[in-house]
Amino acid sequence: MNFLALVPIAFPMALAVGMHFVEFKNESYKRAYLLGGVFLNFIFAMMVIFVANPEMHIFKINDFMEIYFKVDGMSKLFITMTSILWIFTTAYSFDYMHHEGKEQKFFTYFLVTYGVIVGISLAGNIFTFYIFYEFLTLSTFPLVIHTGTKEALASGKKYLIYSFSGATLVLLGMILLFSVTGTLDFVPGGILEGVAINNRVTAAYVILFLGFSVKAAMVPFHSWLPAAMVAPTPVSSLLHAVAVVKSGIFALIRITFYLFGAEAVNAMHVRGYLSILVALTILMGSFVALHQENLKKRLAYSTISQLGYIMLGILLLNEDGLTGALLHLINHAVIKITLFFCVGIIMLRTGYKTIGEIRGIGKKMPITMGCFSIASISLIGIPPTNGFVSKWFLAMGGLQENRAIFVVILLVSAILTAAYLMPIVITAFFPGEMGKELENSEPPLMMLIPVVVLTGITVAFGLFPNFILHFIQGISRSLIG
Amino acid sequence: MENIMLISTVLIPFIGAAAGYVIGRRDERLRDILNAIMTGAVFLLVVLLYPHIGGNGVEMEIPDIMGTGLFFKLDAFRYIFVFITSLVWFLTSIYSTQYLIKYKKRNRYYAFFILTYASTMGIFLSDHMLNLFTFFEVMSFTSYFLIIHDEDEYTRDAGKTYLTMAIAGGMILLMGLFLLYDYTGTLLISELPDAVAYMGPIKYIIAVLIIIGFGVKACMMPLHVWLPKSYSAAPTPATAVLSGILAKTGIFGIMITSIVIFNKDFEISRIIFALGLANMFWGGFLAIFQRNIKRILAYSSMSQLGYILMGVGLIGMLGDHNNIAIHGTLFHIVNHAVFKVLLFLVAGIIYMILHELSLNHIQGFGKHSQKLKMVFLVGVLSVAGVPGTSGFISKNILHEALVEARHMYQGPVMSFAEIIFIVSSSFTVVYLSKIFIAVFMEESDKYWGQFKNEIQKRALFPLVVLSAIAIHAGIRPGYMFSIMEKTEGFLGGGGHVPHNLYTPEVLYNTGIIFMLGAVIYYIVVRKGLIVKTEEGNIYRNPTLNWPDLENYFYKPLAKSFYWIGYNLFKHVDHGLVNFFTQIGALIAKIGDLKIDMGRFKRKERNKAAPDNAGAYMEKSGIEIKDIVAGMGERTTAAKVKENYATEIESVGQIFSRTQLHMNSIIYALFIFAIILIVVLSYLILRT
Repeated sequence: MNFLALVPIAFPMALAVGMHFVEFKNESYKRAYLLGGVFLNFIFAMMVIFVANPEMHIFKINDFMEIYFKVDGMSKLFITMTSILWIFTTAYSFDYMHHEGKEQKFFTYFLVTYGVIVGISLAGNIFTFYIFYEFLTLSTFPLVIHTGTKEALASGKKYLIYSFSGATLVLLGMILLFSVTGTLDFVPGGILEGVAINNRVTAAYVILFLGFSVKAAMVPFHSWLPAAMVAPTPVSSLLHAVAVVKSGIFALIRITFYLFGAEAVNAMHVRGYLSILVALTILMGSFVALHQENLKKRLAYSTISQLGYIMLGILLLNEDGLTGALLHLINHAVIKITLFFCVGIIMLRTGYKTIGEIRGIGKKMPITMGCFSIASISLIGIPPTNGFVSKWFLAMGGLQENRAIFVVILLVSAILTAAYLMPIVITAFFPGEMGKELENSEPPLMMLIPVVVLTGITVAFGLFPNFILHFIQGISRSLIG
Repeated sequence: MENIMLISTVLIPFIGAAAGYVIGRRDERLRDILNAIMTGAVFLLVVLLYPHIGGNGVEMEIPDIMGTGLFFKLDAFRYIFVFITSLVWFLTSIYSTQYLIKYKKRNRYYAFFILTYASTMGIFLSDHMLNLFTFFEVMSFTSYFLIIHDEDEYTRDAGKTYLTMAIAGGMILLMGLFLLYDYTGTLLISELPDAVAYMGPIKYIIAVLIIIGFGVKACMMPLHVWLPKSYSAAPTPATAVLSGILAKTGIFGIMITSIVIFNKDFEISRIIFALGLANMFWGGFLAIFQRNIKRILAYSSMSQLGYILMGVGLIGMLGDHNNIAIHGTLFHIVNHAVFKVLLFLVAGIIYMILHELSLNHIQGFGKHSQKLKMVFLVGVLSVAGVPGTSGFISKNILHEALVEARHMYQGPVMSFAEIIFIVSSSFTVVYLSKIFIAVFMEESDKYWGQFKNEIQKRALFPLVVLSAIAIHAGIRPGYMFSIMEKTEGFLGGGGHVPHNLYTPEVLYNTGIIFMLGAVIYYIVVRKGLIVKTEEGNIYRNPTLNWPDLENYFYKPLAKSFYWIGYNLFKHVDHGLVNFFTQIGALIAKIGDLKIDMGRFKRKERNKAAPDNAGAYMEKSGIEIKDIVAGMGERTTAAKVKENYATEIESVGQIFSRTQLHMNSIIYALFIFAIILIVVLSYLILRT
């Protein structure tokens, strides 16, 4: 029994406590503390998942209530992704939050959330997962209401209500499932071996799926996500495009493939109904995004649509589909965080928030908008970028299920993605007649470097996807077939 | 060694584009020299690769790129495309240095010009559909920057049309590739023919999707709407490569699909054949009416691409005797690249000097400019197909192929096709005479040869080279035929090809076409389109007001798609919020009873004020959705309160205020409660 796994969970929380109490002499000490701390935790996390590989039972009240951590392929994937993005976001946040104010409070909760996310990824059973899942809602709530305006408070309330209502469904689902199986551990292939698929199991799956899909912003539970865009941009980018929403997706993968198993889910005959909701999510996100003037809202609806892709991949229940879903989990995270960072830079440097205001901004910040363009192209799914690779596998998965309609939906949504992102790029770079003010307003390097590096990753994963692809295919092969 | 040379033809331009951009920020002259040397070097590499193209050609594979690996192949068929690409790019790079002198943002232009070059080479060399698609998409995006270079309203609009069609076409192509891969399990072009052979009718769906995707670039009707706009919007060297080479990427894709992958399927070929005829006719017809010289040439490109498409169709339709169609098509591909680039570059020189493209303004410009007149004349004669030029050879081989098809498939349809061919060829004569007579024959007081010195040698050099090729290939087509014979293995040809076209019969046919052309020119252009005024002739263009496909079909289609989609999914977005809000509003209306709170006097003072919040909202037009947008937000309620500081309470007021406060909670709780109830009742009822 070792407590190694607790280090990457507890360390950021300890840092957060430090952040709350320590008064830093100057800005650069604080930056060193935060960036160093986050980076150190990244190292810890990597050591824990790749070297130590622990499995441990922390404490156990009964079979239902047991805190248990385990490392497997999914947790490796999720921790690596979030940790790397956390470093970038920390670097990006310094200047942004300096402008926004209340930095101390922000970074405290920001660090707590990091620990919670690591906890979510390491959780070895659904109960542990659930605990951290609730913590996630609580620790991100202060970040959503950060600005303290009425709008922010209202959005925060909405966020809380949605999340907790979803969690209620999850709790009910857990109880139902436990009553059938007597265990709640995550096992590849599911824990339903030898259990007949009866109504109770089906109900448990549906209710767990719906409960977790609240965080994954599935229709009709999505409306907290656009509302939460009142939060500062680092929160929108890391939490509402990566950590929070992806933990919902992560949960869906956990329950589908680690609790119920692909075969059992397939036997339940509820996939059809759920995929209707998912298809609605994809199309609704894209269509409504077209109508949003506010850049962040536009990206939020785009996130809803892209999360739909991932959920579709999960529900396909075949190897290619799951590979596509996992790839898109990573790729969408990288792409969307880049897009949000760019929008954040625009907001910080110029104060512009809507598409009408950004005419010609590409001439002022060519690097930022250049990265935005590449990320946009990637999100549409044009090769040689990573968005194309995941779309390829999703489409293959859809065709294997003989559902060409899904592929059509993906492509229609891709065209709509082009329709809502390309105008931003075009108005930014080709404004037509406009004034001659051509001062360079690129942001400080600390903000620019994450954007550029992430864009590089976007293209690199598109050109050389094999490294990550083989890892993901290993996971999906172990879960299906 | 061949492998290194092969990959260099793509890598050098990719690196060169970046290097040129960096260097160009310091020293533009150095960049121009670098570009010329680089494109020249690539051209040289391509020439040096010629001995290796026999048999299977040069093949190479780099694993792991894009997951599948990068597969390049250079055989005789691809060599033809690669050769004209490298030649044309080399010449236009030299030409651009003078053309662009007065332009802004040259550095950006050159970077994307060379990037487009690299990706175009990639398209022609790819032996894997996924690689091909990748380069195809990269090319679509980089060429967008060339089209939009001027950044004015017109180019922005043209660029928008181009980009929209390119992305939509790309996605349709991708759908085809998904299906193809799903059914065959491979996308290697060399493996696909065998894999496709046993496919059911689904192959027609796949073929149509892929051909639509490529057809956008090949300006196939009815996907050509971007062409006239983009061609006239782009700077001329870019237009030249757009028409001469980039359109060929679409042709290349269609040939690979219909001839190689689907092994000359008759049904597919027939469709391409018919569309080719339509292109040929309609492009030629519209070209007659245009007065912007670039637009005439753009529609002319559409018409000439129609010839090529017809040839591609014939390759599939002629079965074992298709060699004649193979030779005609490939020859015309090369010719079109040569003479259309030539014509566009001359048009560019005129624009460079006068900044005018309308025939009404440039009339008589070239009368005293002998050199320009000579090269333009060569281009004109070649497009029209006058004996002694390359166009004569390719057009007549295509005509022979058509005649052969007519013999093979008797019937009125094929005779009609031949009539279309002859009429379209005479249209070619008409619109070219229109340009040539207007620009180089008409007298004008404005121009007496004062611009001679502005045309530099480096701009003229490409023109001379191209016209030399046009004439040489017309007189001695033998070496062209020898390359095309090597492609027969890949394209699967057979049968006899007439190498000597200077026979009485062919010349007689050509004579008819020219006679017909002269008659149409006289009746339509001279009598119909020219209005004689005191200041000289003015050309009219009646087609400007004709309904076009873009504004009358595609745009309304896209708009209604968007409108329906948005209005449908808007409700999904607001979901049940709207529903519950409506119910709340209804309750508020029903319970609209005033309760006296003992403050009547204040109400008297505020008589103008509506007596409850619901009515206030109705009157001021605040929609329910505004309230929803600010769910839980108190601003509206607060506003009501501020404006009408009345404390008269009604049940309705209480309800509507509750509504404003409780929306998100009601919604969320309702929906989750409903789910809980459904699930629990499901469990109770079914167990």
